[in-house]
Amino acid sequence: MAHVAESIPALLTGEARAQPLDWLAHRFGILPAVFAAYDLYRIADGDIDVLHKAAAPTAPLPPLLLGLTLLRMNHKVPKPTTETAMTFGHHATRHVIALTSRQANAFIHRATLTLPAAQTSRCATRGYVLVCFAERGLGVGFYEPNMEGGTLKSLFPKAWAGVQMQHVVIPDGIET
Amino acid sequence: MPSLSLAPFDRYRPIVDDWDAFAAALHEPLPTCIWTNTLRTTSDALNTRLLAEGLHPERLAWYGDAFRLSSSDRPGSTFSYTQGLFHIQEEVALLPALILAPPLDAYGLDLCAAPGNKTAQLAVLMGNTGRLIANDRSAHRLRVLATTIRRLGLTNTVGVSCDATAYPTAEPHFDFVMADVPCSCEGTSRKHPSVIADASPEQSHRLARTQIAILERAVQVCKPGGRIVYATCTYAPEENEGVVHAVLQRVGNDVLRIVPWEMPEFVTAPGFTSWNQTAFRDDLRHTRRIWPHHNDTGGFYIALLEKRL
Repeated sequence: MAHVAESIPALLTGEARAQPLDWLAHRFGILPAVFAAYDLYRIADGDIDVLHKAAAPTAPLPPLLLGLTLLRMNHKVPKPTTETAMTFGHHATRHVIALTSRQANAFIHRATLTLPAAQTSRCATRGYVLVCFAERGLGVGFYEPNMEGGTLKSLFPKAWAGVQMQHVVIPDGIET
Repeated sequence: MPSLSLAPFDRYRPIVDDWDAFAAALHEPLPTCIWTNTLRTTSDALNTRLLAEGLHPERLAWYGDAFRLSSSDRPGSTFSYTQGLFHIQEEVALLPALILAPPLDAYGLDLCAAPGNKTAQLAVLMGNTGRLIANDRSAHRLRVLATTIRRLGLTNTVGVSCDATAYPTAEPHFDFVMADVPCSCEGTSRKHPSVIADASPEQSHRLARTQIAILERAVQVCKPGGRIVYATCTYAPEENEGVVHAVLQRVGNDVLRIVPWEMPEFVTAPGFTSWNQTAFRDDLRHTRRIWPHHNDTGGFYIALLEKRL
């Protein structure tokens, strides 16, 4: 049977689109309806990008940038990106952790946090969690439960979207 | 700042209204300016946040979503910046996107997009709706745009790479086109003083050939009723009025017209209708020049055009 090479980026439809959306719903409670107005694309390295449907590119120029990267797929399980956390993280209802400003400061400087049960109540199982601060999505961490609550390993990038994070400090008392 | 040699700018003496003020402005550091990412916050909330982070915001009189900061502020190292609540961009460079005024749900093209500050402005002004194509000849330079897209949370922007003069015309026609063309950058001397020594009529004539080709392409891919902004950050009439004149003469009044524009509380000067014994069309006075000493900014030239058919 002739094999038709998939053009990259490839618009995901049907089952190929449903799978990552179902995973986001299952792990984080971010419902597929959140992405109703967006298209998902698989790009060259297997990652999944998200772009408003109205912005869908047309021929003839191949798109080199397509909206935001939603998920990195070269891990054992799909890994949300920091921009996914910042843009869609506020929709999460599970495997989401809300940090205080002192904790958020430590998190953006890539520290591992020990958290009490009260803060990890929405996290059932080990794995990627979305991290929020002052009701905004902040980033992605790796959560390991323990008897008292759990630990949160920060996956915040050293340099994120051009920002050298070592200079960034979250001031006290900011709410939003 | 040590004294600069402005000799390459001497040819502009006849067209600068106040040479001493112009020269003085060029010796001053450029103020820092930021604009609110209204996809994520409001200018009032941002103002509060900036103060909490120890910055000194002063809202611009002519544009309420933007602020000047003090020279000691480091906006790029703030948490607010990390969260994509604002973008750093020079004040005068804010004008082209605001003049172009992209509608919601529109289909737009930024022909020479990198590094992507005006692209980001356009995407945010569109409220993350519609489709914005960000083109640059250099795929490598598009990568800077990628970081901005990520940080600001833009989901209506697609990056492509081709020579602007050869942008495919098979595309459905655009509602608007930004042609912020490569130029001699004379107006950026307050940030990059080395541009002064490189300034020359020869350089400007050479650049004008490409600028004319880019603007002609912008006109071709814009749909009837659509708008184009032609912008440079240079003073050279060869790259400014000369280019707009040449393209208008070539395509004709039936196809393209200059749309007068102004920005309340921001001082601009009319474009020239002649330069060096060359007469330009009279309607070029509706294109505008921004001189650095008029608003304490960099220099710019902006023409707003409408595609008629």
